[in-house]
Amino acid sequence: MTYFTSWEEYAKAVEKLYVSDPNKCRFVTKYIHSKGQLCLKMTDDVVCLQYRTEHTQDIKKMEKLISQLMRHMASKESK
Amino acid sequence: MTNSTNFVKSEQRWHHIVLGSALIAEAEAIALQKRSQYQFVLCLVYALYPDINDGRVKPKPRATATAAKSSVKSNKASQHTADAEYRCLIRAVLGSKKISTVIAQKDVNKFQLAYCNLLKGNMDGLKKKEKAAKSKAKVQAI
Repeated sequence: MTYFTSWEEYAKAVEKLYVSDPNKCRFVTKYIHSKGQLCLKMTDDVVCLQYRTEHTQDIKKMEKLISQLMRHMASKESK
Repeated sequence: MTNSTNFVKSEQRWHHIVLGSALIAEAEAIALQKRSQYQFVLCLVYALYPDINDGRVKPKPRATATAAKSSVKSNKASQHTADAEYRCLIRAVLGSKKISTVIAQKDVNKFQLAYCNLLKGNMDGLKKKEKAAKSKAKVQAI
């Protein structure tokens, strides 16, 4: 799959995918220090959403997204 | 549910850490230790982790010929799953080192705080914002 170019689009797509089937989704962060790269991936083994960045300011956005996801995952609602 | 058990299948190889805060400490230690290496890749996986086995990490043993008894049990289990609390499974990989933890709802805030600090502190190989330089250039251009 190709990488998303805009963070906003990516965040929206991730949330959509997660809501469609929370039981199947997983989120992967990969940080490669030598390349100064941060890769994010959200997949349910059918669709795969990826985002790649080299900028520090994206860490904050990522944290927000992760916090949201984590909160959803560790909640009592089964949806 | 089958999907989550798939995740857990290879669990024997994972060094499972019960406390989220302990995972953070461990991850920090590994990150520091591997700093000098030319490649530093930290992989984190977040997945929904239904509380099927009361926090059991290893896969459930497969149902065998004595299914008569276990069918009653599995009924109970499915009932339990229906109103079970969902938790978040977190895994970190660096080279051959693998650690994992499960976060319950009440620990989410605490874990997030520690985790975000870890990210901010260690992902320092990324490019910094060049806003200051750019705005100066703009002023000069005007």
